[in-house]
Amino acid sequence: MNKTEQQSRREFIRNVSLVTGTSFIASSLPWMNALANENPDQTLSPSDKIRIGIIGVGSRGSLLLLHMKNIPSIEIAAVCDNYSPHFDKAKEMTNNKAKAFVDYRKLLEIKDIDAVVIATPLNEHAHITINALQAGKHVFCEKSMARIPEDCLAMVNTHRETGKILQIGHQRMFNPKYIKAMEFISAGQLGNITQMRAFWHRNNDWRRVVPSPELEKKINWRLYKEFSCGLMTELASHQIQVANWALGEFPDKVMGAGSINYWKDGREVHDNVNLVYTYPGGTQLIYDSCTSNKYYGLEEQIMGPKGTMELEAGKMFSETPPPAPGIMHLINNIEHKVFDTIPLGGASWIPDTPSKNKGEYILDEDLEDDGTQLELEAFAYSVKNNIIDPEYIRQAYYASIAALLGFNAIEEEKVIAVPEKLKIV
Amino acid sequence: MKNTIITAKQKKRELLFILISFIIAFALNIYSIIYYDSQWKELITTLHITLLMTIAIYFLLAIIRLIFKGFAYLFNKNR
Repeated sequence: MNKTEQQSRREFIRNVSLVTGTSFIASSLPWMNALANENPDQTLSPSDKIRIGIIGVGSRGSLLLLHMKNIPSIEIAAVCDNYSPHFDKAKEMTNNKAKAFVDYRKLLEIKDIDAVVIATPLNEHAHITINALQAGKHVFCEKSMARIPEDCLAMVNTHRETGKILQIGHQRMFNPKYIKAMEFISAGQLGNITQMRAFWHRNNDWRRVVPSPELEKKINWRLYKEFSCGLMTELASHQIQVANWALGEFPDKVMGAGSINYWKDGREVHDNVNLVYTYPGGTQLIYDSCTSNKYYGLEEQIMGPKGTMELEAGKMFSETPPPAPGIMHLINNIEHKVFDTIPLGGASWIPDTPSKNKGEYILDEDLEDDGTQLELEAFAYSVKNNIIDPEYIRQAYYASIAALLGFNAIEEEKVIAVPEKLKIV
Repeated sequence: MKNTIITAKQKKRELLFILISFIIAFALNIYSIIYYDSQWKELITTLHITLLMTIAIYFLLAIIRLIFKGFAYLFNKNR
């Protein structure tokens, strides 16, 4: 990422602050304060840098490592992975400058490491996070938070007890396109949100190459219930978080169905899921995900009486789009009168075909950033200045809880309400 | 080979027809703004459409003029 891109994202964030005033930032995007205040051009002394250890340097972990190498305020002090190809790759990526470990507990023993980034399989998130927080380290952990809801709660409780930062990798919360969309939604451009739909469709087996059969579960952990809830924790949690953020509420119950109807290759998690989340105000989120068709791709659709937003596409569709210029109106009317067929009987029903409104882009320019770089910059800034944002962790927590309870609803074939014991304030 | 000469008078006449076409197109734009209650700034923002309509009207007028000339030619020939 070049300096210009970095600056335009920062300018954007400052503009959001200026245009909407501090109340929008404070109420909807408090985590943005950190970024709005950061000066990327400052020259940092080694003591100004935060020293980070990365635990789990597989595909996501190595991507985070690459992003962090671009952040001046971060020094990658240590890496850890118990899978030798990833271990070797991580050392190579840090030019052998970072200390390398196979056991994360050894990494946590290093006193001058300020924070850790955790990108391990899902079932390992909770205990590593809790150990790291208790060892006095700030934690950035990839989503979802944990494999079971109780572990998510334990993570939040430990974060609150220790006073150390816990940030979860919901990069859309730092994506300029999403932030601008939330600004519009907050300003009432869709009216009250009455319906939400989200989906993530792929057409692949979601497998990674396994060098030998005994490594199947280690490499393809996402396909086995012991380690992951599959589509729900690896994909849906991102989009549920977006829906929660847009609505400003968290779902209180979920029903769902899912199955393995295509990839019957020994996997344990569903290859298709379909769910309905209900929010306290009565709004629903309809969610589905499949791995045998990619025509519709992924999208989050937020609907209200005044309009619709498609957040992945970055577009807004008004229910009352601005009228065409008068002259075009005149030409179209003449054209219809001349060329349209004349019905023999009066139409008693007009089909509700989709609107042909092509919509407006939410952002004028595409900043080509999904928010990953910004979320890591925000994490570094928060660590350096010891800023804890309670709203951020609530967003991440409820997205994980909703994903996990959705998985349970499918498994148990019943409506599941969020238990009181899992609710946090 | 016979030279085809476009006289100054003919040029002036064609320019006059283009001007008339533009006035018609512009007037249509004013009419549609009033009729559809749209914005007056469209007189400027849809100028490209007005110019396209000018060309279309000019060619329409040219066809009508050709038809008239054809009839006039036949009428004079029969006399």
